[in-house]
Amino acid sequence: MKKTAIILIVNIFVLSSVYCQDIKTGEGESTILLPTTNIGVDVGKASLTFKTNNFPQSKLKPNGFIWGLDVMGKSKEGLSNIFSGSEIVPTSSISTVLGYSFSNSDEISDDYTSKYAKILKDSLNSLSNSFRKSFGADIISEIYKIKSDSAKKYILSKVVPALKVNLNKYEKLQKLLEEMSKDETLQPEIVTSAKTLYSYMKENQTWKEIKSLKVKLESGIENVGSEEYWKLTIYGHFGIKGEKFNIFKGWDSTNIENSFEKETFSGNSGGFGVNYLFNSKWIVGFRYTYQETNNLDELSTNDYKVTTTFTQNTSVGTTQISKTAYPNKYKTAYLNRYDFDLIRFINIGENNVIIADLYLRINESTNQDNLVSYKDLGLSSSFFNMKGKFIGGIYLELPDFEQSVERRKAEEEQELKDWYNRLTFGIYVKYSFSSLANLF
Amino acid sequence: MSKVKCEITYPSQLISKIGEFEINHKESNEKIKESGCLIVTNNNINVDIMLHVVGILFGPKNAKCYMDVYVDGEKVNSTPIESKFKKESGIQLFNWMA
Repeated sequence: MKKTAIILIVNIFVLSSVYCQDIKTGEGESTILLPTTNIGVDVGKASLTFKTNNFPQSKLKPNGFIWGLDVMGKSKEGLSNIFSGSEIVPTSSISTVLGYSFSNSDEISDDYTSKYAKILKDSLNSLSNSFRKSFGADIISEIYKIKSDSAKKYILSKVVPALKVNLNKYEKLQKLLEEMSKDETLQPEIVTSAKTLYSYMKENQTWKEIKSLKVKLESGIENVGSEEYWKLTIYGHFGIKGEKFNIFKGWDSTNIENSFEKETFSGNSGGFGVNYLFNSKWIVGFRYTYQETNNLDELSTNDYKVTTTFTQNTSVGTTQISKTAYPNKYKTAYLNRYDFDLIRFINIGENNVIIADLYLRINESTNQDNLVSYKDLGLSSSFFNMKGKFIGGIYLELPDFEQSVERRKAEEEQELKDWYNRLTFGIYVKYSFSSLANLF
Repeated sequence: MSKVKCEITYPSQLISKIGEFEINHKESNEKIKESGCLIVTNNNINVDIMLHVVGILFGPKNAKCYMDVYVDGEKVNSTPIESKFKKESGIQLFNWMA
């Protein structure tokens, strides 16, 4: 029952990723800051993440401060260990981003709105005012000139309500008169009077000017030429990572508990990053990080089982405890990380976009004995449906493309492979609340 | 004078900036209702002659945005108004007139 409940809870988390539209960049996060507010679970890595930032709100201003917070909890040994009865190796991290974003969005907005509209605004206002002040009254006085009382009464009953309409009242009135002038079911006097009024409206000079201004305005804005859009974001980032784990020190027959040592690792990281977006097509990203880390990723854990037998009177009992521990090769290390991303927005058909990300991760260790320097290269393609119902993608990665870890081993232990045999690839999909709602 | 409200939906991940929106060439109040939904309002618009909405969002070609326009609470467009992509500057443009 407990297990079922855990599975259910985990599934709810897995399926309840809110706006979790991230781009995949293999290990390590992208250097590109994306507007995500995210609660999600990565089943493969057994991680639970929460992300929040002000990026959506910052879009309203051409320039301004941005901030973001990411919190992550993870079982180092994967989700399967939660159910297998072994101990969990917990990892948690908090990272913050604080930066400033610049763009030329104001200049472009001005080209399309204010700058162009100012030229026409004054003439439109004066035409609109003079038209509003006199035209309604002019039409009514034209109607009073109609000799037939029944025609006059009928047209007034139609025109007066039409003049009370809000949006485009004169255009709608002109259409009404046109229809009346063609309606053969009406009295001939009404049809003739409607024709006269329709011509009066059509020939009115101010009305003509307004109509031509509307055309000029619409096509003028459509044909505005403007500079290319760009956005530059500069940010600093800082993070703390904590891990708790056991180290196997070797069997101590006098006290088994002494065979294991509990270790706590706490590492800080910090640095800066730059994103440059241009023409809404390309984003170039760079991030530098100085990171205090360890070599746990290079080590694998073992499960140790200790069985104790005791005898009391004629009874024999055994107790068994399980320990998950790393071998006694644990070391701390410092890394200089240089992350590069080149993103291209690719339009597919009419409604879909692929975000292709070519990325390079350079991890330079300050102490090669404790942690080997390595470089990863990869390409990911994230699929965006415009309705936001689904996101997924594929990625291809060449981890440690210089095979630094292998080359560090003794020659007889090295397993050097051709690059194409070391390529890793994967498919990733994520769901959002809206997509789930549509499933039921 | 009428109250004009424009409700714009946009693909949040692909739109990197929201530019200015003008209703009959008057600056209007812009507010993000939720991620991917922008509300533009102006409560003092003369719509006797015409209603013209110009607005810009910054995003790639297929990051299409849609707009519904309300005058005094009444929706005045029959189908959602789709933005047009302007290649030279990389923007999604609304230039709609009624």
